Amino acid sequence: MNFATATINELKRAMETGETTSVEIVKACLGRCEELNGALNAFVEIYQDEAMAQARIWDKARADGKELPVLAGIPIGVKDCILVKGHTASAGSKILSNYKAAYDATVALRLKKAGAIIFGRTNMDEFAMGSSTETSAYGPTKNPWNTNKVPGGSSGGSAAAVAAGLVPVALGSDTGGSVRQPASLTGIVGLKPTYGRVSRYGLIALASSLDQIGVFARDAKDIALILEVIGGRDPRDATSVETDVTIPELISEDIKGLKIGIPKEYFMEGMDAEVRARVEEARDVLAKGGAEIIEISLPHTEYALAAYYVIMPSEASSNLARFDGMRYGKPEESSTLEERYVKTRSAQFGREAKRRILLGTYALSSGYYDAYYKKALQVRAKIREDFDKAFSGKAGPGSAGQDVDVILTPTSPSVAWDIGEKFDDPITMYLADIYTVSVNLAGLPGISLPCGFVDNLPVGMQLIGKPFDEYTLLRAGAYYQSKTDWHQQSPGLDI
Amino acid sequence: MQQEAIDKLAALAKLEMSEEERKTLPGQIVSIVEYIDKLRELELPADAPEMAYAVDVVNTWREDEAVNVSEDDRRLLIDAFPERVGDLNAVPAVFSGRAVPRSPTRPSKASSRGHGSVVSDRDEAL
Repeated sequence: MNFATATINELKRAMETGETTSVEIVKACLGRCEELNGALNAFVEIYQDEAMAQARIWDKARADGKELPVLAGIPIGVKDCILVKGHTASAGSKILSNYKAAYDATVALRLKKAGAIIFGRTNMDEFAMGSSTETSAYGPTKNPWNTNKVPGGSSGGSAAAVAAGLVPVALGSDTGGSVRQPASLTGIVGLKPTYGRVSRYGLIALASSLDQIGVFARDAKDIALILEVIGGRDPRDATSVETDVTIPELISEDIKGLKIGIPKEYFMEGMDAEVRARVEEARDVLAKGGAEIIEISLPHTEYALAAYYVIMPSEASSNLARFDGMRYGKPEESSTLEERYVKTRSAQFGREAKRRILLGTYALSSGYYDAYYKKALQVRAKIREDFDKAFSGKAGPGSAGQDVDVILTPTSPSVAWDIGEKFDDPITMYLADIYTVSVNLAGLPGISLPCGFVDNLPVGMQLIGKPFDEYTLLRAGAYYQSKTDWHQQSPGLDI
Repeated sequence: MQQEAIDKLAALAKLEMSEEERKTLPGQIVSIVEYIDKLRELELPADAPEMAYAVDVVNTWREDEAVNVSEDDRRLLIDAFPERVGDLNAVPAVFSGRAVPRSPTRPSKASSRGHGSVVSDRDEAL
């Protein structure tokens, strides 16, 4: 069995039939990391001994004929901003470099209860601020398809780890595209669930009204399996929601009659023609399977990125106020309270964090609040309204009376770019999220699926769904993946 | 936006810019502000609905009571303190320029007061 390309559903079956064991799987992951992680910098820490010890426990339980939970013995990578008790959680920042989590994030707890083995923590942009995983205090992660290129971000470590076959599945977080965009740039599947589907308790916050924990895997069915484990109401997160929509373990691959909206605003002049061609080819595959393709309009799309870059930094500047060198971290030498705040924050926040703190402070300051923050919230309401109309048949002009079930767009306007290329040019970097931020603003679920290559680099398409209708996204994704093999291709990794 | 305005924002955010940041950050902030100014192009009535959250948020209340945590959890929280006096978190004084005591840690009084008070007023520690 090829551990570097196997899905977790395949690994589960192989353990059930005795073809492999959890110890063998974990050893294979450790071996891949030994070989590749030095060059990729996907994991910043691997819990080798703990992972092996847990694998032995699950293998013994299996040998003893015990009833096993759904993810028993499956290793999973976890982004460095998700707390795992007793382990460092630094969010890629110097300011948290020695912070050890005192409790488990709800997702970590649920994964552990389901038998998953937390394999290590993955690299990320500092506080998830970035689209390339270059702002990490641990240095950049490299794209497994071409190590001169970025893997996307901010969850670039998780994406690279799954794409390179270091682990079969990993968690990320998505505030403006941080799961979907790196999934797209590394040729794997990435889901951002509906806001409220997954508890954020124990996730180090970037922008609380936009953040959502998401999943990277090789196929849509693996995503469903993990989502079922981590989703659902959590009393510790007031925004988490109990929904009666459960994700069935077996996803139907039939998409006959599925109505797919194509928003004209996402396919404008000037977008990368090759990326566009790959997404249109994917559209045709879905149409051939019986889906109905409907042109729609989401008229406020052009304002989404501007609204996002007001709301996100505003929330981030508030959330990052807690990092003051008082309760954890390693404060700079200082004699007064004020000096400790200033010295610690100045020395230990990176440049992107400082940019966003300043921007958020500006947008929330009294003279500018109405012009920026309030206006951005109004635009956000308009963006949600656009989606609601599309999903209820009011998004004309070509779609009069036709409601759509999902919306198809590119995930990223381009394939992976060179490391360093956009690093000092924030606006160009921010534009990498232009197709993904609306989904966070509206609180909808979105999934990126690999749909081809341009210059030997992966291209992703994004499917956007109705609130809490991850099932339809996964169903369309599973159908698409049954008809294509983009997700089964692996980087050569000539490292 | 002038350097002066950026300095004021930095002071509000408790940040100090290095010489290098003073050269690069203001220009970048200005270019981002120019970008977000796009919002002004869209005319909306002043009372247009605002959306702060995608789900209806209901505040969750609980009694204001200390809740015991396990000794293990308590240890992890205390161990994270940058500076300690016993089991108390030592921070610079709020109302004066007094320094954090550098004295060696001393036996804790916190345990006799239950687990609710791991963060203390530093003045007590002095």
